[in-house]
Amino acid sequence: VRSSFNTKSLFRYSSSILIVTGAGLSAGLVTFAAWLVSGNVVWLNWFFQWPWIALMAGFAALQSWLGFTVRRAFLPDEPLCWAWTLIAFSAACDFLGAVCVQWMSSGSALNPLTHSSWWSNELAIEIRQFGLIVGGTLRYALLAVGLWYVLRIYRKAGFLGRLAAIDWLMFIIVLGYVFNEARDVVVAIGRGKSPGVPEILGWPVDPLLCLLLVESRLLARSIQRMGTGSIGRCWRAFTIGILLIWLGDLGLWVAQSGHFPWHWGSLGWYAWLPAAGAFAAAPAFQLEAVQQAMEQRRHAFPADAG
Amino acid sequence: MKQPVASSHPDRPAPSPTELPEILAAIRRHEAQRSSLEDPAAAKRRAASEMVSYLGSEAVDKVFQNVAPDCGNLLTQLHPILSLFLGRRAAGRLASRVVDAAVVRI
Repeated sequence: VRSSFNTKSLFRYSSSILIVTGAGLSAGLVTFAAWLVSGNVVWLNWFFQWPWIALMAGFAALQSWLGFTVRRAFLPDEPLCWAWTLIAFSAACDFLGAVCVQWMSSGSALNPLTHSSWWSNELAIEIRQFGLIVGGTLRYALLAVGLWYVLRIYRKAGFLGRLAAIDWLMFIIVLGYVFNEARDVVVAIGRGKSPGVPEILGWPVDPLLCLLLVESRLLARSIQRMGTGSIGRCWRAFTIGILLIWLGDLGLWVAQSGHFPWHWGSLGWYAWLPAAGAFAAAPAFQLEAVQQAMEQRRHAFPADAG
Repeated sequence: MKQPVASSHPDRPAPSPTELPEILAAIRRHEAQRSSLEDPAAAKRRAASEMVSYLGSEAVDKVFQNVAPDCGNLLTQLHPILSLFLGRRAAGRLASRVVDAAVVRI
């Protein structure tokens, strides 16, 4: 059957995002290799002070903008409107967090605040803590609720999947990580540490990531139940992004454990870049699916053309 | 303005450009009518194949289980699930286009 739909006319945000992600990741790995070979840390400094910040903040901004754009494709009483609203605000939090942590709290000359008379290290710490809460706890909480709405839609459609054995294994591993982190906190408090409010507000990040992993695996199984289609592509991007965030976290955990040379464990940092790319590509896939559905038929039945 | 190509039958004038789409549509309708008599499930298969790129093959199999061979209930089966994932506006456009493309208005 000849397809009556033509998507070639659409600007493919998703392809552009994936190309930029690939280029950024390649640049990161090249600088990592250059650092390993030369022992000169300037390679790492250059990558993490320039392309890294630009890409992470850029992807978050793009995800937020595309998320709000996609939201307008749905009527206010539609469940995906709520889901995309939450996801878009989650991306906006990610962007705000990246700006605060990577830019406005840095001592770089590019930070406009450093040129003001009231700039101080204490202020930088406060901005950084604010950024970590907004870009961590708040971002993941909004995303978790947004994806919960999506799972409800899959259930309503009759395609909600079930966790497979490998999903349970992943869940047990990350649960072990979360318990290990919680144990460290309890031990530290037992030894007299007095955590501040910003630190306490940051504690839900790992449990939220744990919840997001479960949601993303349920989404992955639901997508599998439906088969490969443009609708599932968007949600698959979220499942990949969440998996990559966990890969990065676990890489750093392994690095800190001392069982592996720390510089190999630091490769986990690089997982966050494709994760950000996957999060940015997700609304782009949804937008393309909606545009494809809305697109005017270009051939077949010329009598209907008018 | 460019004139239509002259007909091979001098007593019959060539169709005007505005008539051509109607003639083509009539030919398509005739073909569709003939093919639906030969293969009653052809329209359902055409509609299903149009939807695979959106929903995925397993989802299409499940949704189309309840679609009548003549696609009489295609819109009522297809629109709710498309609305959930694409929104009512896009779903309405897509569903009616699939009905047009696969079933053909007669």
